[in-house]
Amino acid sequence: MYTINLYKNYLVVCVFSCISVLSAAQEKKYGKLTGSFESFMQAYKKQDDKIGFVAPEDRLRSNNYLKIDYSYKNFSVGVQAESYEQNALLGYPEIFKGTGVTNYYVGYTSKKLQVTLGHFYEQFGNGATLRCWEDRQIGINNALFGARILVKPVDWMTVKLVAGKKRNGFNMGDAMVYGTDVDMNIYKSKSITNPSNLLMGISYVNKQEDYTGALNNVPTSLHLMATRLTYNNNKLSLGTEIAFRTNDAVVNEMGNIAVANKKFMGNLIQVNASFSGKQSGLNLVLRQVNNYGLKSDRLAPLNQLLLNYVPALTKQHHYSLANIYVYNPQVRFGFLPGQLLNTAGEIGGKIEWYKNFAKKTKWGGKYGMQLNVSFAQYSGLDFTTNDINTTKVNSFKSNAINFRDFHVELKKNWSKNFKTSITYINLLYNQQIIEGFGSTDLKADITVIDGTYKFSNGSSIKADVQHMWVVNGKGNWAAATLEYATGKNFSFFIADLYHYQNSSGEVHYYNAGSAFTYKTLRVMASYGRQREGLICVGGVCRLVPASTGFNINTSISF
Amino acid sequence: MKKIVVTLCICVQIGVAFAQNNYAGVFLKNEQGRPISFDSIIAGNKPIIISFWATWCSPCINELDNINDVLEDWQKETDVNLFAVTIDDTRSQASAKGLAKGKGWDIPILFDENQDLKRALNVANIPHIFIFYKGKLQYQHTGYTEGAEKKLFQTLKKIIQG
Repeated sequence: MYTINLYKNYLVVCVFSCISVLSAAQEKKYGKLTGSFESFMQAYKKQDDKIGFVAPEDRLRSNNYLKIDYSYKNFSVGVQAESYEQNALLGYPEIFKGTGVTNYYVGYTSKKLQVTLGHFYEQFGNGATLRCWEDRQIGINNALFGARILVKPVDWMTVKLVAGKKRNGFNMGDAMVYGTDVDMNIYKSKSITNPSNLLMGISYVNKQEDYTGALNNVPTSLHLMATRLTYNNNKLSLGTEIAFRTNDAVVNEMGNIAVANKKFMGNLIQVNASFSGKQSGLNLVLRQVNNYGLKSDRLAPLNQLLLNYVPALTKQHHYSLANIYVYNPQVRFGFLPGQLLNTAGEIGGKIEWYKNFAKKTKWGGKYGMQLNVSFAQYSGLDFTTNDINTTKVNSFKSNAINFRDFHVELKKNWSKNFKTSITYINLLYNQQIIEGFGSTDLKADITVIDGTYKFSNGSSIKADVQHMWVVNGKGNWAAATLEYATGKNFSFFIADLYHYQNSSGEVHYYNAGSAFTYKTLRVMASYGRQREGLICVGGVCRLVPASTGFNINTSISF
Repeated sequence: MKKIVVTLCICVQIGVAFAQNNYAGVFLKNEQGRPISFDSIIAGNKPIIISFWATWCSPCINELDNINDVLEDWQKETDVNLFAVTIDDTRSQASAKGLAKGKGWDIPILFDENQDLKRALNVANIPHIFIFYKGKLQYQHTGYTEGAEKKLFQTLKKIIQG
């Protein structure tokens, strides 16, 4: 611990010295400085009885991020500072508080070698064994702080070695993480018209975390191993990834260790296939996740200190009503109060088809038409009893359905200036499994009609109307959005999500605002009412409480 | 801690006037899953347009639909190469290629799997477009409204003409 702190201090001094010295002589021959600033600010209304919202004492809150990187020949340095004042936005974890430097690094890059000391991001394969990434909307930054080496000994091979501790807010987790990944293009055909490749990868991750509690036999070392193989050519891609793990303590709904050292055989097995035609694309994924959602610190809450990345492999919808019942993947043991085992992994898949009907064809008409159809279904893995101490999880055997999603979208261009789309979604949402309460059989049907018209002066108008019928849930919704873009720097929008069949009384979640864009600067200001729910990016979700207020989001890069 | 923040602010103010971008060592994956260095993509004498998008970003898809319609004409006039870099992660990556084919895009797709290039180029919101010429960044813009591709083409021609 002392060694890491000393290392940390020396690195901070080194990075700031580099930046201060080099930025004093700002001519091209002395390197390049670049960066970005992003700010999310909310000023909450004191009270909104309609949604039972009472603002906290510090009603003005903001999340701010400043990132600066400097490179000179093969060397680079960088820092990121974050500021949460007066406090972080509602719904962000307590680890985001105050102002300070959060990430810093120095790096060396050449054609065959990269070395980074400090904070870095990394992903092994699809992220099954390790992923370090940043997502500001969800409040994730689990960059590793330590050392990263990337070597390309030959053109067709990449070897990575990493070691360090994961970032957690303004601090670090306790666990040490070590990993290695080898990525190889083991076969490449010589054909120019239809090239084909065979790619293979292996990764190994080890996590070391002490345990000083009262329980016996809590493992202090976790090993993950994964292998992946992909074949592709112009028309076809087939791939598989198989990942295994050793056992670790199981944590219950109270955040305590439920079982110290039961030998659960966790695994992740995934198969992908895609087919491409000239004007169509089809992809299929099948996956089983058995106790494979991992954190670097065994007791880390919510989305903190995620070690790997196992997202929901479901269709990502962009309409507001289609983002109310969103699947949260069941990647680890889930418990109900009383340490009753409720869910133990998942098995399922998704199939999706995109088809383009070109202009001046029978189906495409004069200006073209596009069709997208998808279907996804995930069920829980079967397990023998609700008692975590004695249960057995059966691989490749499912029990109740967690989530099902059928979707079809048809987009038609009627003229050079006018296009519409119509969408239908049918959902089955096991709220009991996904949220821990409610029906096992919540059903929703959603329809959306959407149109865009472009005027001759360069401005455009976009509108959508949505409706969701809900059975075994909290009633139906309707929604509408209207957006006008001037074609220069401004756009304006007004939107409403109307929960008209809410059993506690109908509610309008209204929102209106404007955005200004100029080169790399974007400022968006809006006022409205936010519904309680999940904001999900990838398979990671953040619970957002209901709130009403004024927002300003700013971003600029330089 | 206050001293650090103050130093940071000074650095930003001095540095802003001479900013370019830092992307040494960033690799993307092509549609065959093979790593390609970003430096090799923007090297050479042709103008290169890099358009950041994702399968969940409607304005990005609109922009690429509209550019795809006029790309052949652009290439006849300017010899430009356009690459659509998707920041989709594992969740939606497989959909990206299917979507591009299903829309009939004649645009090569590159995969920024862990958003390394997005971070290196300081992309905050998408869509975000860059024009590189002779290995140097010449222009960038965030956001898209219908018809903006016309202005992008005018900017491209100005850059080539010097």
